[in-house]
Amino acid sequence: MPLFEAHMWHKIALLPAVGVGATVAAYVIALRLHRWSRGHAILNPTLVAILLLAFAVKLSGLDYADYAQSAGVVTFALSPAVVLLAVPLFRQRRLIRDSARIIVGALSLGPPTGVLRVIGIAWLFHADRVTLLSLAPKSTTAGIAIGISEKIGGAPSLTAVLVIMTGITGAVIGPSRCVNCASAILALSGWPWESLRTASARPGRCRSAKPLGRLRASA
Amino acid sequence: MLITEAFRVLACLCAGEILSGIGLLPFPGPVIGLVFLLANLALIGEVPQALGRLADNVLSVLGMLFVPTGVGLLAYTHLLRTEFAPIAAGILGGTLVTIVVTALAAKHLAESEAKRRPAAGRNATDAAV
Repeated sequence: MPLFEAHMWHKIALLPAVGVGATVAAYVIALRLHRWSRGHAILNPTLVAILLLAFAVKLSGLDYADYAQSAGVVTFALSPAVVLLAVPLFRQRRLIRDSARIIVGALSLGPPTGVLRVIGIAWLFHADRVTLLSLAPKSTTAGIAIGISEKIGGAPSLTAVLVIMTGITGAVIGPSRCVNCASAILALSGWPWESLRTASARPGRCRSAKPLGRLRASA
Repeated sequence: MLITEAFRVLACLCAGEILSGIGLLPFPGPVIGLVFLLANLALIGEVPQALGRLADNVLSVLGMLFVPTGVGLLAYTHLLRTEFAPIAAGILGGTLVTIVVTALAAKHLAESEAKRRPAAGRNATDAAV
């Protein structure tokens, strides 16, 4: 059958409609699965879609480069999408301005030490250069992390998956569980941990933290 | 109009990519574009309706946009196999400590804020945690 000759496959796979179509299809399936599981963190739609497509590309015997080329429009759309993140940021300007001191303080302490720790831990385990550079930006949102990884010489696709894994890890071990665990450690070292526990148990906190958490997990 | 807003976003992106590309600023182009759009919105003082809709629609499928990049992981399966331990340790340990440190810092700052401005402090605590 001439239709199934190798070069025909290749031609078909290079069509943007096929690459983009396959990406959207995989994401729709992944979203359905996510909804069916009532939003389980491990069934992150992006991760599931990546695995589905990776299998599809592998099974069809095509090169990743072919798929990347045909789905190039989707990858390009990531750049304007990152720019559009300015809109939710601007909408929250009042909240951000009101708590500017806290946000600046927490952000100037958390992420930079986070980067050092991630790299430090990975380095202790003898990670190589590309792995270290791909891990470094992983605590930002994926769209931005991919850009940073590219810029500093990491592997963008590794970073994309690592960011998602970080989001899932964060969602599974979760802020509340994390704070409980931290307060247990602090209690052992004689810190005033009870106040932390009650702060984390306040119902208002969960409500305000939820949208952020969801954004992070989906990113 | 939708196309005007699309142009606004692409103009910001373009300026950002150029500044990043010629090496003037050490940040990824889209991130510089984000700052430009933010500055633009601050000048206008509000989010144009069409831009708001565009952002909501695009950002609702943000997760789909890094699927092709993620599939590129196929090219790194050897790296994942040989570097499994550092990657797993980095993700688990790093995430745990980042959450704890950031939460502790936010809480500490929120408390000092509450002392400074009692009413604003409460809102700030909610925002921070």
